[in-house]
Amino acid sequence: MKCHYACQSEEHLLARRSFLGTLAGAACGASLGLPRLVQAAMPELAGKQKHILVFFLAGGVSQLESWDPKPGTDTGGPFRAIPTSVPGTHISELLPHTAKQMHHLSIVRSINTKENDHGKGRYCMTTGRRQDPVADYPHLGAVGAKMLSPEALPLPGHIHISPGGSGGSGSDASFLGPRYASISLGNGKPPQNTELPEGMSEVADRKRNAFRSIVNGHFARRRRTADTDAFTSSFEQAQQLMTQRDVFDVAKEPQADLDRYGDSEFGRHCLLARRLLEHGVSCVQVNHSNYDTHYENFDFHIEQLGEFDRPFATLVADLVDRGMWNDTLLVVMAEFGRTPKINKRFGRDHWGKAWSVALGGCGIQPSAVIGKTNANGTEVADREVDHGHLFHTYLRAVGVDPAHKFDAGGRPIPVADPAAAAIEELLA
Amino acid sequence: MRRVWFRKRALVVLLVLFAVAPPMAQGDEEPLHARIDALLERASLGPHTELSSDSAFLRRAYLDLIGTIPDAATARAFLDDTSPDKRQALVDRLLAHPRFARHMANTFDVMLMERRRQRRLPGPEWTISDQDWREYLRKSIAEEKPLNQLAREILGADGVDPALRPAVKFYFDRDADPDLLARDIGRLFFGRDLQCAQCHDHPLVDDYLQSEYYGVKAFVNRGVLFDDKKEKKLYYAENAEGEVTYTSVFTGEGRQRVLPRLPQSPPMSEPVLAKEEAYVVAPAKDVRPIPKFSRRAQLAALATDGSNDAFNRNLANRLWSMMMGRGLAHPLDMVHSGNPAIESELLTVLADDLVKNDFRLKHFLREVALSRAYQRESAAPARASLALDPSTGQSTVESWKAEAEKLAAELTTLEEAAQAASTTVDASYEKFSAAATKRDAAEKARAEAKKASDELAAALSAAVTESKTKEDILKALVEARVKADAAVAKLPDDKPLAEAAAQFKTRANEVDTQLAALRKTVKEKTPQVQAASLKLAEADKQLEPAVAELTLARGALESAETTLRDAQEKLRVATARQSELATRMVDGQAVLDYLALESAANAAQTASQSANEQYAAIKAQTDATQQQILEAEEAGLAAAEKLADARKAADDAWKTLAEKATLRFTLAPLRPLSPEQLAWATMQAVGLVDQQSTALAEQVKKDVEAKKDLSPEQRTGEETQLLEARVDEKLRGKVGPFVSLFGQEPGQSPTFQATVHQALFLSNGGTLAGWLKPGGNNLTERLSKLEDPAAVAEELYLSVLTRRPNDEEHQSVAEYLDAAQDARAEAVRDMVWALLTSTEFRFNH
Repeated sequence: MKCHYACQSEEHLLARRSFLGTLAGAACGASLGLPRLVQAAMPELAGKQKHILVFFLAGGVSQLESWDPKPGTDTGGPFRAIPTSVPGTHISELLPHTAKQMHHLSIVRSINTKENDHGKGRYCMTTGRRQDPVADYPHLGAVGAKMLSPEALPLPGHIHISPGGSGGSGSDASFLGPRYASISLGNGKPPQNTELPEGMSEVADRKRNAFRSIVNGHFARRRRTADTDAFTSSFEQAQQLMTQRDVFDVAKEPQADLDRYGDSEFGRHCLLARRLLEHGVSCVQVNHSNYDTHYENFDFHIEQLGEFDRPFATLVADLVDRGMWNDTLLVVMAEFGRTPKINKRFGRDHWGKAWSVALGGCGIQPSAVIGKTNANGTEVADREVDHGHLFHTYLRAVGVDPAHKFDAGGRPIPVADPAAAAIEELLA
Repeated sequence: MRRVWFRKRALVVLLVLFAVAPPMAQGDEEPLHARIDALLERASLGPHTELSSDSAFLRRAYLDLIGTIPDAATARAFLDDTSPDKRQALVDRLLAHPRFARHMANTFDVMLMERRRQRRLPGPEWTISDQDWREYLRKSIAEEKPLNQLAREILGADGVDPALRPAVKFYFDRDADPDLLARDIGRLFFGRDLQCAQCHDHPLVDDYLQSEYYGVKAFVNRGVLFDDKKEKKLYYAENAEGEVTYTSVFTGEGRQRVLPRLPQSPPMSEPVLAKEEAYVVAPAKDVRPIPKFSRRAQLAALATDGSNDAFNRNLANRLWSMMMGRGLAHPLDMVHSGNPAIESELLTVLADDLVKNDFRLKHFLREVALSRAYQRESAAPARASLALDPSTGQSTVESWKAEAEKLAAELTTLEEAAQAASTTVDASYEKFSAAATKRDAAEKARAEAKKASDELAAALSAAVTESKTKEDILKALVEARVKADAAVAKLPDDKPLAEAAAQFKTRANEVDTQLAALRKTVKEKTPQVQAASLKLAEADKQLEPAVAELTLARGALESAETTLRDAQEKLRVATARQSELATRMVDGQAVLDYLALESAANAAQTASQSANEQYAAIKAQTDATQQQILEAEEAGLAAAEKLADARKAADDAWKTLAEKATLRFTLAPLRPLSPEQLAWATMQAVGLVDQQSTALAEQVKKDVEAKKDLSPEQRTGEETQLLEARVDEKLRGKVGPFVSLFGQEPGQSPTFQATVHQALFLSNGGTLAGWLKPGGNNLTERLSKLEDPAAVAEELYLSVLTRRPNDEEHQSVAEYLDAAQDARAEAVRDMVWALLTSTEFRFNH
């Protein structure tokens, strides 16, 4: 069915509506499925704000040393599988603390992305689509920032926590625009430019802003549009963000919490993630590296997962205790898994063919194990899925309609690849 | 007074054009800017704003033509200039300004490359730097190269000609990916984003066909990036083979051989060449192939020769958008019959004018800049400005409706014609496809026959050569034997001699046997070779008609496609006209609705007033009962409520009209500055540009003086050019942060987004704060030295906002300075900051 161009774009309708401050007057609403649209685009109407928390185990964590152990097989490696808080579900002994939280989490063990390249694998897993020279798609965090953040939230909606995070912004929002691009934190630095310039007192800053408002008021009498409103409100949001600089400072958390998360960079990053989510940031991604273990896979996994396990498990427990679990989707992903075959250097190589992701929280069935691999993990044996299915599942979990269409310079683009669908049995 | 004239004129034009004369019967003699206004005004019932103030025009023209704002002195001079043609003089001055080409180069760079990242290669010499590319664009524009030629150079680029090498960046930075190129060529050169037609005909757009997408792709499908490792250079080479094929994921139908074709055009004619004749340089390892017939060269030629409507209209639409903030058809890359230009006849006029004037950029921009449409006020219009008689409005809307109804009937006929033509194309394609298969088979059979014939001939020739050799040997042996026999006869007892003679005999017999075998072979092979050569001749004979048949079938297909294209074109034009009329009627109706609501509000006003009077009268009556007073009061309240509702409805309708007027170009839009405009305007305002100009002027003067044989005018011209280039070189590095914060993501269309990070950058970032520190006679320093608050206010507003402050603003400045007391420098700095971060500065208005 064809709709008249000017009202084909749902984005356009929404922008107009919020500008006019009314929900009325959507002449084409009927043909757009307006109720769904409103629900998808304004989930805050339906309940509390939803959040997405991604753990990205960069380099490609081994599924065999984590979520899908195969002890006693030719590919299993030296580690045991241990029982978890979910009867019948076992994970690697390298994750003893996480094992106690498994009743909150679920595992998808049957991922086949057919992608063994770091860059392309990351692209698949974070955008839900295969990299394509013709079209670029936004990162899950950018999608979340746009769809889940309240309009007036001054904090950035999309934050990546990495070692060395500079406070600058990334380039991963594609057609959604720089507003939703990730801000990189982690070095203890807040986002850039959140401190008054040298020689500027708070009083002087207030005064100059008051003068700016007068100038703007004068202009608004001539003409006021959605764009001018957006521009003036960006300064108000900047002011609010500056008053909330502490939100980015993990040292402001109680000492007891700092102790519980441990004296490691990753521990502090987990606590910072909690702090950001508590203050309303929609999407947080914690990067932990490096899992690219072509050499000495087992030693490296002892080390890396040893660092990962306790802070991660503490964070899951905290999110549950603090009542945030039902509003926060948590995903532990990587660009791919690692080969079942152990190479001559005791390493494992890139492997997109049969690997796992753990997830839980908002909208996700707890304690589930979806799909399985064969006895020694060389192939998916049941319920094969890929990045597209996972992406649909994440969106559905936080109440975003995967079929909702973004307006990319006049072209309607579905949030998720229409060729895939959610893993229904995983949704709560 | 003017307004009334204007309105009346518009209506007259409207009625004349619609009711009586065919559209645009007159007017060809009129300059383009007058035609622009006539066409826009006839299609709108209002509201229209007046021409903008001089200061608004000055700022707008500066930003649009040279990408920055004027300094205070220039602004003052222009505002105080009383000559009636000062606007036109300003436009001409700006078009001659050295920054014109610089700004246009930036604009075209962003348009064509969309802030894509440079391709990464082993060394910078391999590829094209941003700087070389922009300099190529700048020079092209400075030399007033026609835009179709520029497009031809870009589309035809291969990186070989050093003078044109930068043009190949368009292909390089897209990795020569045929799909990406098909999409971007469709979007940027033809205004049609065919991406959704990649897997099937576009689901939402009737005239975006899968065949069209692949038709464009067929032009670039044979292109390959070629690394010349010896030269350490990258080239965009082309093969002579490689067919584009497709299947619809919806219908399962498709084509195995797609003829290259431009959007809305018949397929390209192409000679049918046998494989071995297809190359000038055949592809091989480390060899750059060169085809005899380059499809890409055809693309470059066919698109830009002025005959391709889609190309011409796209260019006109994009240039219009550069000046007006929005295309006549918008978005710029989604132009189709369901989303036609708001006034398609105007787009036709613009495109024709562009072609007629050899695609000259300056001519086009000048005409747009001189139009009323460009010069209109951007402030929301006053309601009194809509001086429309509802009955006139009604009849106009009726006339549009009548035209739309007439069109609807025609559309059915046109659709049928297109359908019939499409059937013919399918049949012709089948024949073409069969002929191509036959040709391929014949070519294969010929190749096989040739191989067999060559092999046999080689064998025969080897046997003949061998026989010759053996014959010689035999001859020698026989001669030797005869002589040996003679010797033996003379020396009968010489045993070794007799043995030797016997040896000769044996050998001769052996060779004779071999020779006999060889002769037999030759005898056998000779007819075989003859047969093979006959077979080859036969195959040649088969191939010839197959090629001829294919040439014929291709010709028939091309002609069927041309017929189809003509039918589709007629249908497209009619459909576009229908959509355009539909929008026009909706907009016209909105005006009528507003008028009705306004008059209802006025009636409610009267009713409310009379209800109030009634109430007052009853209250004044001494014998009025409590009940009567209460009733009157309620009636009064009800009337007031009705009035409020009616007013609100009228207000809302008015706001809608203002938005619609912006889309119809009868009210100037607010347009965000591009990152480059924002950076340069800021650097100009704070005094950084003037600072650099002063610092560099002396050296420039010296350098120009060193050049001999220049007239004084040439010298001045040279100095201006050189100074602009040096200042740009010095300051362009400072534009980067603005681009990364305010620009679009790579490969995306520019959209306005106000982000917290931008506000933080402007508020707290070191860049702006550094520029605002007093020093080097910058704006902050100049203002700090002024004693009189009125002088401060004037210089401040002229420098930053290109206008003089009004009384209210004079007063706020004076108060700010007063409150600051000793901290005058800081106060001045902060006021400059406030103006730089204001909406008035951020937008082009």
